Amino acid sequence: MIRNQPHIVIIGGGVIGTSIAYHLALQNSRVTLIEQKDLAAGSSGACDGLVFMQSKKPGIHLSLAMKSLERFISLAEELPFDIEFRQTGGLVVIENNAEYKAMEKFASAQQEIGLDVRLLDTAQTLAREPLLSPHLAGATFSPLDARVNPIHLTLGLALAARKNHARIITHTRVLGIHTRNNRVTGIATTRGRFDADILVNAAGAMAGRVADMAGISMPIRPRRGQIAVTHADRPVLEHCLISAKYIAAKFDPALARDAGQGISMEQTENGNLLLGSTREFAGFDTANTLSGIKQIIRHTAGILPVLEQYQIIRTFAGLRPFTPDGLPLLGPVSSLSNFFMAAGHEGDGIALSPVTGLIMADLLLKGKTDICLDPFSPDRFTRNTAGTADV
Amino acid sequence: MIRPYYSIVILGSGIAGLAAAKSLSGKGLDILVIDENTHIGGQLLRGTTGYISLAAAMVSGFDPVKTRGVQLIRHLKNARDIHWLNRARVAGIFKDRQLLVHVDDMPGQPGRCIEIRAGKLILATGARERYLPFPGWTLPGVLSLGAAQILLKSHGTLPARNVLVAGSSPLMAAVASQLITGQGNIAGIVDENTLSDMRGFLPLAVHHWPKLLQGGAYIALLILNRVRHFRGFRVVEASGKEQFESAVIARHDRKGRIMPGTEIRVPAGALAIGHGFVPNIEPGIQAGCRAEYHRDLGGWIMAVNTTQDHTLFETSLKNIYAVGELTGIGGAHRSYIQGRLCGLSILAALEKYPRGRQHQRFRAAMASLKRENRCQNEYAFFLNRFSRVPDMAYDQIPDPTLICRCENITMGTIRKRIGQGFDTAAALKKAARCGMGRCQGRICGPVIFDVVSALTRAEPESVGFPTSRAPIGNLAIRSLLIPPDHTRNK
Amino acid sequence: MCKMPEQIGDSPGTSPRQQGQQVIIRVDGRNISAREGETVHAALTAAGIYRLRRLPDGSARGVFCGMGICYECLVTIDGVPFQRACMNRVRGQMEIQTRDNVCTGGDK
Repeated sequence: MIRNQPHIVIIGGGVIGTSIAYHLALQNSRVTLIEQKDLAAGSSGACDGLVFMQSKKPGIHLSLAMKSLERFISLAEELPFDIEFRQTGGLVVIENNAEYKAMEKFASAQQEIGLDVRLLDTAQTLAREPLLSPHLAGATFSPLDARVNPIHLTLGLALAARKNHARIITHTRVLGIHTRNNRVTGIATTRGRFDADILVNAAGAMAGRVADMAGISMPIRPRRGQIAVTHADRPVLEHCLISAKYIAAKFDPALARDAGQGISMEQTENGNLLLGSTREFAGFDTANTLSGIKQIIRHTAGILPVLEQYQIIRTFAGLRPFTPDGLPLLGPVSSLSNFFMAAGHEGDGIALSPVTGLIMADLLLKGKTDICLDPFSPDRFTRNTAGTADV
Repeated sequence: MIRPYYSIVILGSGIAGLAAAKSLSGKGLDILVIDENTHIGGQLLRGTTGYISLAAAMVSGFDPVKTRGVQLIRHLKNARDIHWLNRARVAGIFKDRQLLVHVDDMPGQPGRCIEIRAGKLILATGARERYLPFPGWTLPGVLSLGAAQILLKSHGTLPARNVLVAGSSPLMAAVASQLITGQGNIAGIVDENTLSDMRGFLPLAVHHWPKLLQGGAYIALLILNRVRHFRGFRVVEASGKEQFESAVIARHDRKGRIMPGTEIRVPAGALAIGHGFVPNIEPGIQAGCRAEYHRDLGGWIMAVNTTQDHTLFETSLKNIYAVGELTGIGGAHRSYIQGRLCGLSILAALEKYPRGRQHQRFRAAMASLKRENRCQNEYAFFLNRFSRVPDMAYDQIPDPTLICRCENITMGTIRKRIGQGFDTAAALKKAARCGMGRCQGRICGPVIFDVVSALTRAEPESVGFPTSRAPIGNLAIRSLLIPPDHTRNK
Repeated sequence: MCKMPEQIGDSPGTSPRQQGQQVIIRVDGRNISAREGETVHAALTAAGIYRLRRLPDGSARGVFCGMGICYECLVTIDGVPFQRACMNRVRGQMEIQTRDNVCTGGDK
């Protein structure tokens, strides 16, 4: 650490905040991460570990994901936790013919840009994953898709950041943001003031509230995802699974009605099946609901009938940071100097966390990135630029 | 037939639940009592059928609450306004007290789920045991004192011909005397406490003389049968090839540190252990009720109102009440009083109390029960201090000891993670996976809480509030897929 | 010895030990006599069977809490896996399997 380096303060001890802290610490910068509860106490500790490539829209979203995937492979070696990164391959399961038609188009668009995606009929799908329902219309398969243990990933990033001299401070709540001459100077917390030359808002679903403290409005809304966990068992599911409903809707507006009804499934390294997930706007309420649990169980058991022999041991819910265009907010905010956003990944937070840490570190230390960040500019939504003053 | 709505739903048919039902019965309410067991009466009134010795009959004769419990069951069993739903368990309490209830129809079947809404919900889910882990406590044949008691009381089955009884629990004496009654052999009683630890009871003896008599009768029975009593000893290891064969016990000092050189190996066919009790607060926590920490009442308990007459024992959530061991480990008499009081308070809130002169009697009954409740708390404090293991005992747990039995997490892993800064219950769960298995931390949770408290010396609130998510207990997916059909009940 | 005057704590229609009929159940293919209505735990204990399952590392587990909380005593009953021996009641002809009963979960 060099004294005259800028002091970078990151708000949020989730997978995004810890990844930025780690990538900054790797380059010997002065970093402090502030988390109000425990590490991974929010959405990063209450989500599945899917790292899907084929669900991303060809273009900037997909190239970001591909870069992330590359970084995952090296992170698995670097981090002091077993992050259980496994490139299992992923299936996007298709439940009816309308979806099949939409996915046909989507897959060919992906194939055109060179992504390894294959459209499978029912028999081919069952050949890959024999316990799936024979009533499925098919699936798309990509060998690139992977899974990871999101909690271990977050904790591993935090421990590695700390090893590289980043300060990780938990159980400390941010109370306000200090500014002078339209420039961030520090934050007020329950453990006193922290001076900051640069402030990074990586507060996930809470990022909107943190931005509010600086008088900036950010359109990040909490979207609840409920997940059910089965007991641990021998391997029954090789691939990671999501349903085509959600993707197909993007290509065929007639299918949009069911877009929110998609499911996800994976079997963790420990043997538990994670069954998800709802997508609900319910404020900051992380309670599980009876209807949510029943919806997940009915839908997933329809796709993987062997689930009937399983038991649910736990449910949980996390708040995904939703943005109106489905893309995260990465980069500076024009209305306040030295205030950066790194939030709003919704369901892609885990998958995009390595690349987010990588490019945010580049942006903060070098002022430029390999990937053009314009589509992710937080200013794309900013309507109001309220004046800021020293608090 | 089970209806989709009851004005009162009581979870647990133990003494507290029965007492609440007694207060509420006959007042034009419809009451549903849900219990996971086949029998009504909870752990205290578990089938004491059949032949038992005169000595044991005398011992239980000293227990007036038990007698009262028997009367309650006889009185309420056929009450028209009470419906009993046994072999059923509430897997979740959702918004507006919508209950997801899992019902077992047939052994070896996944059962089915029904949904019931409760006007008012009384939690009377009692307590479970607390344990101090040691290497080998996962061996088959090492079982809880409660498990041993169920075998003996409900089934007349000995856990083994020769049983070692160990821990710091008041249940030890009860299990030992039941073993004698059942003509089993006691390899010894390994008692964390010494006789001088009992002195705390003496000032309470005036108000709690039945317990004194009961305790005296137990001790006399043990002396008569020449049971070896190792006071101030602790099990430091259980060993055996495929199942428990012998235990190494050792003396500890006042602070709870094992004294080297005092080890004795005791062979036995089974080892029954327990270190006091933990309230079963999970249903309340899952529902969203607030908990508070009270070391001398058994740790995390349900926070309830104890002052306003119209909302006695109401939790932080309106229309959800908690009584008995949930408000602090304090035994059957306290549970009875709280159940009765809670029921009367609900009657007062519903304006179903008697008018005129009778009203005075109603008020007087409530006032007297409130006095008795306070008096019972003194005994509760003694009970919990008596069964509490010293903090130092957690420092003594060797690294290879399994702490989380479900996920196979050792003390060594927990120490390492605490050292890395994962020093709250929640952080430890994420970093070490402890409490993530089938039991969802209901066995290891209290242990881990005590371990973290002992190792970090942090305040209970910083170590972490208890958490619980639906389902409470594992839930067969098939049971959720069977369409709800209320008519198939009964 | 004397008989207690009251039969306490049994709900209508259930059979306590003394009334339970002697039945035969099969445990890992072996015939064992048990009483209808008693818990599988009680029946297995009376037959001297303590080990009910194994972990992938080979270690053995049996009944621990005895009251449905710890899920240590999982056995297969009539082909349905993961049933708690402490909570399930014996019926005649019941088939119980403890062999090859491997459950996962392990220290990372």
